[in-house]
Amino acid sequence: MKPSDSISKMALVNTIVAKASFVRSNRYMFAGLCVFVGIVLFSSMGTVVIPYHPVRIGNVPRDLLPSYEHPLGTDSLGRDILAQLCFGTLMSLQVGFIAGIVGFAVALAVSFIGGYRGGNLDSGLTILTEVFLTTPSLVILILIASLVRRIDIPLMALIISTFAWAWPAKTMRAQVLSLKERGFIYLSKLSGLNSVEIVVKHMIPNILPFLGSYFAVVVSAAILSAVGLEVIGLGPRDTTTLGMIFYWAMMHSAVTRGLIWWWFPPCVMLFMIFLSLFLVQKGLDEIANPRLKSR
Amino acid sequence: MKINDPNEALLDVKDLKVYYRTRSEPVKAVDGVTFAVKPGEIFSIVGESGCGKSTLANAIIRLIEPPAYVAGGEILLKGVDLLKLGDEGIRSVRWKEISILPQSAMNALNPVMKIHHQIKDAVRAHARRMSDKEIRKRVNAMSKKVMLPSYALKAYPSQLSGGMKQRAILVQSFVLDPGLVIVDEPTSALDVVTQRKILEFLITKRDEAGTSIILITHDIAVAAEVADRMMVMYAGKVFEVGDITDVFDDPLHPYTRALIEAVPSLGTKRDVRGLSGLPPDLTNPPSGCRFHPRCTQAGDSCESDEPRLWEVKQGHLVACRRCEGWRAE
Amino acid sequence: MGLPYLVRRTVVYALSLLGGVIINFVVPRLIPGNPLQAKLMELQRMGIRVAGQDFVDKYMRIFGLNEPLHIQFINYLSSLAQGNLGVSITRFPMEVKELIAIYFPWTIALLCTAQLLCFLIGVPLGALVGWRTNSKASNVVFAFFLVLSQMQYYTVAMTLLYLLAFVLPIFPTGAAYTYGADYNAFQFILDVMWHAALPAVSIILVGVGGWTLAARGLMVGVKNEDYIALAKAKGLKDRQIFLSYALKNTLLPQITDLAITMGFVATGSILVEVIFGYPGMGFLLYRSITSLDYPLIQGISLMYVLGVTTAAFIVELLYPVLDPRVRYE
Repeated sequence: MKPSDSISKMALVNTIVAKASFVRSNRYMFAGLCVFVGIVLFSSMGTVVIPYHPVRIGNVPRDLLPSYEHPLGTDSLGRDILAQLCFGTLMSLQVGFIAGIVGFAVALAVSFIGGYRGGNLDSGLTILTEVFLTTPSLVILILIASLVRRIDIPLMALIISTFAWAWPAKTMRAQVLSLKERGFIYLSKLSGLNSVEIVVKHMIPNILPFLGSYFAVVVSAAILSAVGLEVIGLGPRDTTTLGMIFYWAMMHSAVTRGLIWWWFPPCVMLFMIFLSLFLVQKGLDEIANPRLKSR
Repeated sequence: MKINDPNEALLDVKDLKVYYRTRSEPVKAVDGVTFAVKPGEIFSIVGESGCGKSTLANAIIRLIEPPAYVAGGEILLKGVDLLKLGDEGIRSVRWKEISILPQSAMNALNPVMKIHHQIKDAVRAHARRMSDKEIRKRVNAMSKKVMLPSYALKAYPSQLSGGMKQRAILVQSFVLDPGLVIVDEPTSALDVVTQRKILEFLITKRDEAGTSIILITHDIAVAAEVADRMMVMYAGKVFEVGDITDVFDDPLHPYTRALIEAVPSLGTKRDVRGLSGLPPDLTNPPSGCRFHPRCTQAGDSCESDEPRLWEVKQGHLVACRRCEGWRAE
Repeated sequence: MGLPYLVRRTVVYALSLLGGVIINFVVPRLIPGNPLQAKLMELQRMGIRVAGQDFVDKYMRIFGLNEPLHIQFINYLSSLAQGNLGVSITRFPMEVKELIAIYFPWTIALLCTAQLLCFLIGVPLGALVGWRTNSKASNVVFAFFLVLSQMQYYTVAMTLLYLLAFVLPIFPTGAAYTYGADYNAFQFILDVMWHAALPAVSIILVGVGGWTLAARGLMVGVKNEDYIALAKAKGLKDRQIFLSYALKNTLLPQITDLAITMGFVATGSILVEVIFGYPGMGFLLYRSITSLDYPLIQGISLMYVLGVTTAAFIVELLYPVLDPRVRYE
């Protein structure tokens, strides 16, 4: 065996050990990612594999108990529940991510413009942010959604994003303010970089873990709002989401009729989604601020 | 409590070892430190950052928290081993026999408690029978001595200036008239005027009340000003101990000499010289004498054998291979 | 504290209210067509005989819906100032505010009890868990509440309804009290509590998780402060340090948390009320959405905005009174 072989073998072992300890020291984030990816894979596969249509009413017999053909039974509208679960999860995630991305983009703009520029613009934007933050969003969302004729996924996501941007804007602004004072930013200004370059090339890369953590929170909150709207009856009726499953279940008194296979699986799925997003957020928090690691 | 023999040590630390647990080798922050503090003297512990002096201070009042742990040795206060005391025992010793004056007063005071309330807590914990009136009298008397106005006592820490907070901490640390006070870096966070006031206060306490003071500092000039005896620490080890005049007139250890030469002198004209290199990694310290990689006078045996503390003169000890076996007049 | 803080808080409060009012006003007028007409047409489709076009015109005239927009807005504001929230469509001619007055107390009772219990259970628990992060028990408790905080109000509500009202019929499946029962005052109160138990527990189980986590986080932060180490050095008992030095410092930020979570609990409880058929404002809102009773929807939404923002405003005003640090900045 040539010496270069043993060297490259050792390099490989070293990289594996380094990657393993990287995973080990960021347990939360990887656990959360694994669960989340697992959910997405499961739902995607389910949508493709399961032969029943998740939305069309009456395409299977109603109120069937779980069986081999219908692992989670069917609902009172004649739809397979497992199909609804898989498809609904993907739809709910879609709403969450669209609202999350739009809200996050707005928050980035507001917090960086306000935090960086300062002055009256900043005061105005901060007050705006706080107004949106203190007003109970669900209620206003209910108000808006109740007046729209037909709601579909993108529209619902858009409505949700009108409030989803407030929290990340506030927290990101705090980050911007503290970054502004750091030495290297001052140096960048001295060396003649314009504001946009400073923000994009120097500030943002330094707070990427924070941004990731906030994004996870925003998506989580968006899904929460979405399900809230859907349960109350303001969700998209032409398709199915996790919240809509709850809505139809409650419309048909599923809980008091004991149809546990109808309303319980979405509970579990929602819980897993929120738990995984929370773990990812906590993990990214620890990466951003290693002092938080209490181990 | 009175000590009959003035040469009897108040605090006797024997071969103390304090380590920090890590995933690999433990960090040997304090590795076999031996020294004694007499009643009524100012004893200064001098060393670079990371030499273990703060860990040593915490060990004496048993405030060592995991991942740090005491790996061996004895801490004798008037003959009683503090390391062997139970929780109740060590709590009764704290503040009444040994108190500390923390480095920065900024964060040492409870923000949601009034000043006099915090001081009262300290007194109550050790003198349960004292009435509120007596406590107030004592605190007022002490505050007057350090020129802390009475309104400051009734205030919250956030209402006070930095200097007033420092004086409040001073009152708190000395209110029970402890026999030994550990003063941690009394000069780093302060302006020179407050600095002077505190050093003067310490000297007064030593002279009038016979309080012993362990002065921990990285600033050898401060030690030279107020200390009676001095100990030089490096990488968890003691390098030199002795009367302040002995050590400064005749620094035996090369490290001590380097420390002295690093400070500019007003009197004589000489070069200011620094030390090359960095303090060693305490998980894997250098073999033999820990200073040998940076020592300009390292010999052959310095790398292989660890030097022991050797009494070269009465009261003047040094841990250096070059001085071992040598006796001066 | 002073003026800037006060001004800012008031501005935010005023703008939130104004925003709510404006949205309440603007959004319904954005949709094309006439909601009343649409409603009547819908009723007609269901086979109910409805009045003709002159009824619609009369309604429009009575409620000033023919006027230009800005006049309508002024009318709207003035009627709001008089406490007139309009008339319900589905329960015509009952006024919106009458309906709200019937359902409002139930929601308030539920929310206040639940939020208070969450705070009283979660904060001490979280503080204790944060104080002793070394013990296995506290890590188990922490993990448990971590998991709990990820659940949603309505999923827990449904599960509780299933387990404790359907499978094991311990609790009633809905409503606020047993209709038509002939109880004296004491029995009635017990009956109400029995009915409110499951809704309240749904909220508390989820809420406690969040408070415990927050309290623990704050405690872990406070634990490392210098004044805690000094308190230990003073020889104070562990319990005293925990209560007066540590816990006290974690309480104040959590008061503002009360303000922030108010909105969350209020909106989350809407769904809980729906699931249990608990006759609070959330239930009324749900009913009004299914029947598209727009004045009612808007009236209730406005009430929620008013309630949440006012509660938050009051707490934010109170905070400087309680925190000495903020007071003297």
